[in-house]
Amino acid sequence: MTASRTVVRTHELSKIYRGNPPGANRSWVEALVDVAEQAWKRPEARAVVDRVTLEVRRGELFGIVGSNGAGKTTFLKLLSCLVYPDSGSATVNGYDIVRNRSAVRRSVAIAKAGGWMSTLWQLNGRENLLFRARMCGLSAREARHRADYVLDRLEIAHQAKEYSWSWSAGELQKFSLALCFIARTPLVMLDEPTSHLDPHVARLVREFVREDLSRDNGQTVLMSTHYLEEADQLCDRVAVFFKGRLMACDTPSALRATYAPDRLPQVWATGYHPRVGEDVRKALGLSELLEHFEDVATGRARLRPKWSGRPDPRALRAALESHGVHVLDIREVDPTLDDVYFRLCREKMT
Amino acid sequence: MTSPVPIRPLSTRQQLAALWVFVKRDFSLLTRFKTSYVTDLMGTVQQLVIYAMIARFGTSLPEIEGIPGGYVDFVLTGLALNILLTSALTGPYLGLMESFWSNRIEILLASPVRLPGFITGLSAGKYLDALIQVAIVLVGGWLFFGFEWPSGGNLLLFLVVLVPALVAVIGLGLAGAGMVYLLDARGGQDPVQFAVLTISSLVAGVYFPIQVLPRSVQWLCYLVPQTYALDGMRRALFGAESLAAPSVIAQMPFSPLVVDVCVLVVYAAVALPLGWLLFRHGMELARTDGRLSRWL
Repeated sequence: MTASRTVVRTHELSKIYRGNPPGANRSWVEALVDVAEQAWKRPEARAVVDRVTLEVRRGELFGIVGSNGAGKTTFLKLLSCLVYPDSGSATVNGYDIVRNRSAVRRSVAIAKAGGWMSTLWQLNGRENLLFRARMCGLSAREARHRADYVLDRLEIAHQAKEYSWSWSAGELQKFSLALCFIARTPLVMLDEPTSHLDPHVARLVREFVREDLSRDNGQTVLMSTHYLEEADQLCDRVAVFFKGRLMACDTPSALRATYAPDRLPQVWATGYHPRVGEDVRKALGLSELLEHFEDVATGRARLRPKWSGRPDPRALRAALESHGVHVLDIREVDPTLDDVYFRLCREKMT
Repeated sequence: MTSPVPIRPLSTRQQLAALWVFVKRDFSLLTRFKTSYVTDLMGTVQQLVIYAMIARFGTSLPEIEGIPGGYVDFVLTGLALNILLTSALTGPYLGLMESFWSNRIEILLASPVRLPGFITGLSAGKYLDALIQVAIVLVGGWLFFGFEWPSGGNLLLFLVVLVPALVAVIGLGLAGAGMVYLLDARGGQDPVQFAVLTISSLVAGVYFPIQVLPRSVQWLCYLVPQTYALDGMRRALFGAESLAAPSVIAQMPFSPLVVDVCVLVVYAAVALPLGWLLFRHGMELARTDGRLSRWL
C-alpha cells in the first residue's frame, strides 16, 4: 500500500461549515440556546473546500497557493484528519481519511502557520523535539541523534534550551519544521512555512524543505503559501485554490504556458501611489493594472498593465509621469505565477 | 539521512513511552514555575489548617465514634481522598482545556498517539499534582495536627474500593470533557463537573458524616460515586464498623463495605463507557464542524 506512487489522492473532497463560525467561544448556556434555535432554523452553510480532486505523487514538492480564505489550511486539515469531510473521498499514503484515520495520522506531520502552535510551551526547544519523536515511536537514542542533527542544520542549537516564548518568528518556524523532520513521516504538510520570515531565514527554510525534507529525507512535501514566487521556485507542481475551489493544478511552467502564455510589459517606477494607478487605469482604459510594491515609503513598485485593446507603453509612461511618478523602465518580461493566479481569479469572479 | 519510517501502529511500549513524556512534560511545569506552583499548593495547606483547627474544637459525632483519631482522621482522610477523586473528575476536562486554549490540541492530535492515550496523557499531570497534595494533607496532618495513621487498615480492601471509584469518577470526567465540544463548555467548568462537584463537596461525606444533613437533602448523596468511595475507603482504612452507614446503605442485607464496592463497580461499568462515548462523540463533532482548535 505504501509503495504506491500516489501519496495523496482526493476526489470531489468538500468541507462545509454551518452555523456559528468555528472557534466562536460561547458559554454552555449560550450553546444550549443555540441548539434550541437551530432545531427550527436551518444554519447558513458555506463551502470552504469545494469538490477538490487532485493527486500528489511520492517525493513531490507540491504547492497550494491561494488568497486568505481560499481553503488551503482546511484542505491540509482534511488530509491530516483534524477536520472531517462532508462529501467526497481522499486517501493519504493509501489510507482512507474517513475509514483509516489512525493510519493517516501515523503517516503525516503538519507544521501549522506561524510555528508557535506547533511547539509545546511547557518544554524547551530540544525537549519539544524529543517529545514529538517519542510520540511518533522513535527510540530515545534515535530521537536524540535526529534532534542534534536538525538543531544544527536549522541553526537553532543555541535556542535548544530556551522556551518558545523567547523565540523569534523565524526560530518558531524553524522549530516547527524541525518537528516535521524528526517525525520522519512519509508526508509532511507545511502551512505557510515562510510567512513573517526575513529573506535570510526564508531562504534557509526553503533550502531545508527542498534538500533535507524532500531530497535527503525522502518525504513528500505538501505546502500552502501566499508567495507565488516561492511556489514557482520551490514546487514541482502547484495547485491554485480560490474560494475553496481548485482552479488549476500543474507544474509552474505548464500553468504559465496555459494561462499566461505571452510576455507581458512591466513598469518599474518610484513615487507611485495606488490612487495614481486608479486614475491612470481609467484614463487609458486599461483592463487591469497590477501593482507590486517593493518599498511603500518611496513608492518603488513594479506594475503590470493589461490593455483591453492594443498595448501602448508610451501613453502609459506619459500618463504616469504626468502624475509625478518617475518611470525607471518599461520592458516585456516572462509571465509569473502571479499572472496565472490573477487570470484564474478574474475568470472565477466574472 | 534515513528514509521515512514504514507506517505501523505504535506498540504498547511506544504508547507507554509517549504517555511518560506527557507526565514528564507536566512535571516540568511543577519544577520550572516554582513560585506559581507553591502558591497553588498554599490552597491545599489552607484547607488542611482550617479543617484540622475545626477538629481541635472537639467535634465529636456519634457517627464517627469508631474512628480512633476522631474527627481529625475523618476529615483529613476525606480531604485527601476527595483531592484524588476530584483530580480524576476534572483531569480530562482541564487537560483538554489547556491544550485548547494554548492552541496545541491539533498538533497533539496529529500524531500516532490514539485518543485514549491522548486524554490520559493530558490528564496525567493533574494526577501527579493530586498525589503531591494528598501527601501534603496526610503528612502535614500527621506532623502538626495529630492525624493518626490507620494501624488496622486493610490496604488490599482499600484498593478494591479505590480502583472502581477512580474508574467511575474518570468516566464522569470524560463525560465532562466531552461537553467541551458537545455544549461548547469552555469557560472553566462543564455541567457534569459542576453537578458532581457541587453534590460531592456538600453531601458525599467529605467534611462531615452524611447523617448530620437534613433528611430532605440526604438522598442527593446516593447520586455520586464519591459517597460510596469515601465511605468504603474509610471503612477499609479504619475498620468495617468504624462508621455509621448512611440510612439507605444500612438497610441493605449486606455489610456497608460490600454495598459500597458493588455500587462502585456498577457505577464504573456504566460511567466509563458512557463517558468515553460522550467524549469521543464530542471530539468527532468538533472535527466535523471545525471547532477543534481555538484558531483555525
